[in-house]
Amino acid sequence: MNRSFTIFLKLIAVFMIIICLTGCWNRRELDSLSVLVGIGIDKTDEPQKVNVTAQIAIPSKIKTSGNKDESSSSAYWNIQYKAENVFTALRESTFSASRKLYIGQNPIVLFGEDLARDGVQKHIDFFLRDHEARLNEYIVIAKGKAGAILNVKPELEKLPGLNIEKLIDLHYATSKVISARLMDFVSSLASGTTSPVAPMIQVDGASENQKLSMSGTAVFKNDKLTGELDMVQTRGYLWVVDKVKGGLINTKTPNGVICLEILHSKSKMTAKKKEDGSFVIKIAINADINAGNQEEAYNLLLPENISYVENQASDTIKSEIKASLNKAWELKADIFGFGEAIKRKDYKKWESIKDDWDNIFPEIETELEVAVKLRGTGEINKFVQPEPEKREKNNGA
Amino acid sequence: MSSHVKKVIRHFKIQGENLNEDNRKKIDNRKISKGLQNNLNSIRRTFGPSKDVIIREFSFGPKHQTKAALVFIEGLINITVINDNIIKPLMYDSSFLFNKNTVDPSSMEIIKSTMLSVSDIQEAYDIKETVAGCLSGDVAFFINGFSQAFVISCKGFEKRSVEDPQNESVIRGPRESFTENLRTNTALLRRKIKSPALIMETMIIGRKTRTNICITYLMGVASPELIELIKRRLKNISADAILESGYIEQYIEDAPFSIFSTVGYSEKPDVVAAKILEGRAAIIVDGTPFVLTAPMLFIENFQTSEDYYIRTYFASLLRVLRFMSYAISILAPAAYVALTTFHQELIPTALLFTMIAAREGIPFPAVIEAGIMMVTFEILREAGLRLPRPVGQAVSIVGALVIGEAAVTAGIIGAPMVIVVAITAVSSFVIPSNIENATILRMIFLILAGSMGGFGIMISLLGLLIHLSSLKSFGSPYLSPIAPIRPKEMKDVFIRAPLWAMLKRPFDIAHNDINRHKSITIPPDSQENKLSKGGEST
Repeated sequence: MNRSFTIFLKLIAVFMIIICLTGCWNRRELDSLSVLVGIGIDKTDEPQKVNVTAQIAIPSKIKTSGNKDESSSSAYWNIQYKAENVFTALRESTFSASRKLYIGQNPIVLFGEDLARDGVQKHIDFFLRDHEARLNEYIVIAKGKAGAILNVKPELEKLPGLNIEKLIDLHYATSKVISARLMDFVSSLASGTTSPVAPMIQVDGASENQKLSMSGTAVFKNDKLTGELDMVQTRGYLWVVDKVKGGLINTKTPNGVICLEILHSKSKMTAKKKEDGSFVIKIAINADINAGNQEEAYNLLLPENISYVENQASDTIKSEIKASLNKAWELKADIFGFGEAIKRKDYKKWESIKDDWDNIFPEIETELEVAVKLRGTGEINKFVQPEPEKREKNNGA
Repeated sequence: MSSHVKKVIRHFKIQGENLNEDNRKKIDNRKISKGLQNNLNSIRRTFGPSKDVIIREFSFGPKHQTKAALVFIEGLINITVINDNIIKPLMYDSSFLFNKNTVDPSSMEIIKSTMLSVSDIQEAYDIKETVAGCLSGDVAFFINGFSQAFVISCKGFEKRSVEDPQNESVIRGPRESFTENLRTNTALLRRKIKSPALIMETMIIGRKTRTNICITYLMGVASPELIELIKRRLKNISADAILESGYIEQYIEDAPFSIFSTVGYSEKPDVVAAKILEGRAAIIVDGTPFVLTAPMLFIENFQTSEDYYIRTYFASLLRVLRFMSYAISILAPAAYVALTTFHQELIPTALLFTMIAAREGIPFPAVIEAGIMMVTFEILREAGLRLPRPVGQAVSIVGALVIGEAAVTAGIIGAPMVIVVAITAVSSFVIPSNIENATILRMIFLILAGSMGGFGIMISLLGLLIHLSSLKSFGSPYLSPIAPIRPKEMKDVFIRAPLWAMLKRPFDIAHNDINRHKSITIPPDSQENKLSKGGEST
């Protein structure tokens, strides 16, 4: 046994040990997967059981290039199982599904309204604990039954689950819908004082013309659904937490309504301590807007008109924020994270008041500062209308 | 384990040596005698029944009393030289030489200096030398009564002319390539580097083949230790046959058990000249157009001669492209298998569905599927290479149809796998000198990826890195200038800096004389700008 051979043996031993260090090992062929594209969890009549709807994609039917007659049949299969918890239900789906469910690509987790009122924490635990599930799944609250939402066949997409994901992805277009990933939801839950929020979705229309639409925001108290914000309040909430990325503001001018597009916004929430020891939350918002639509001629080239529009827009933003504040105070749910802001400002004081936070929160003072800048007037700078005498003037110039 | 193999090899080596030593003694150690027939008899005994050995006996001098003989091998010599420059002058003009019938020792010298109109004549004193001369294309000239012979060089065997390189084709650059003839090759190099410092040292290796080998280097640039090392290793070769430079490579390389070659080769004189100018040594072997260069760094695989002939931007782009394609050629099948069997969550959802749909009904696991495709590809490649050219095309058509179309439609192989193997195959052709190691690495990576996923790929990549950094080629670290890192030499690694910016030779090769440029040269245009500005002001 010479030296190089012993080194060789040692190397093999090192590699064997390294292999053991990785923990789990799971080898699955692609065709043994049934990819989940949506999970709906609903309450059942039996107290200890949940009804889990798992939406499985059928990849061979997703490809459009194949046979045309096949494309008419749906590219997904909703499988429902009633069990003690989500994990059991998903596992027991193998009683009727030939492939083990694969949750690694799952985009959304839908909770039925009834179930959400009873609390979602015990169901979320599985999604955190499972090694395949991701933390960036969207949490969505269904108005009515989650299973029913997953049954609505979308027009543009092949898979309802991915359709809902895309609906949420588009929240930046209006900023009237929020997106809540599992990790956002859980970190709010973990903070203790901040209330988790999640978008709500509902089915519109009757059996044949059913479509899904996003509708407001569900507000949780701890892990229980307590109320909801409408679209305006949702926008107000997003302004405060600095998540407005786009959207439209309609404001009145002396000459008709003008529609303004939010180009960019930045908001800052800080806690200030007053002399008497109480706290003021200061919310400073900077927004850049662009004229998107004008109903009547209102000259946006004049400085006084520009500042008028800017003021109008900032008033609208303020009113949206106030609406959301009022709703949150009413629900006694600190969705904005005011508590966290105070904690960052004065930890010791926070420690003494945090147990009483539910009572302090509705009383808290806020200061709003909204600065809006009109950055552009779109592709044109004047309202296009027939003005004969002006036209002549322009020709002369 | 490896040293045990070495021991066994050494044992056989020694045994073989002893056998041959005995044989040789019997034939060779005879001095040339004064009697012509004695000498011719020993020549005849040495060559045995070979019919291509011609012994031409004739007589010359006054009254044609002096007997003489020419010994040569048909086909190796230039027959006109023998007729016109050796036999003719002797037969017609030699009467004045021998005034009496006595044999004058000085007449040998007179014949050499006045009568034989050929350029290269050596004197030989034993049979061994004349035989060796005959075998390498010389003519042995025996004269009755003299105990010495002339070995006259008049090589004239059939040889290929200098042609286009077969393997290293270029768009821009010299189109000549080495031939099988050692002298042609050395001349090609001499024409590139017209400096007396270009040294060509010859050696004869191979006890049976007696192959001429030429070690070429630039005196003062190549480090003396390197030349010493190469010579020492060459001298240690005791093999009976050297048929190609590959033989030499395998006898002198640093890491015979590595899948990476530590000796470079090229068939283009400009490439070899460039390497010599960087301080490397070249080993030209008679009988092959492939010239070895040493030391060889890993990075040389990614550098082509054209990089230096075209302008720097595109050359740098190509350099990066080559690194990428090497990565693809060793990693693509492994990464595909790892992703699809272990890390499905890393695949974008839409792509995952396409891949699942393509794999639907495929009977084999992905790793086996990849293995089948890779082996099929290697078979096709080898078949296309070895078969006569017209048949080779047929093979590639059948292969493309069978693999590309039929296997997918029959549902044996998934379409994505065909794409992956195809891109792998094409990438591997980007760096021809790396095909050997890339093929082996690809297989290892695939097996590890198939059993351990991305973790397996990481292990094998780390193993590869450790192995590469442990290699040395003739004293130079194989991964230089990446490890040990030489920041100044990074100009010629991932990018190719302008030639005027590459002031130094690679440190790990030419530490003797590091400066390429006489003085620091700035880009020519800025020089001219300065000049023109000066002109304006005056």
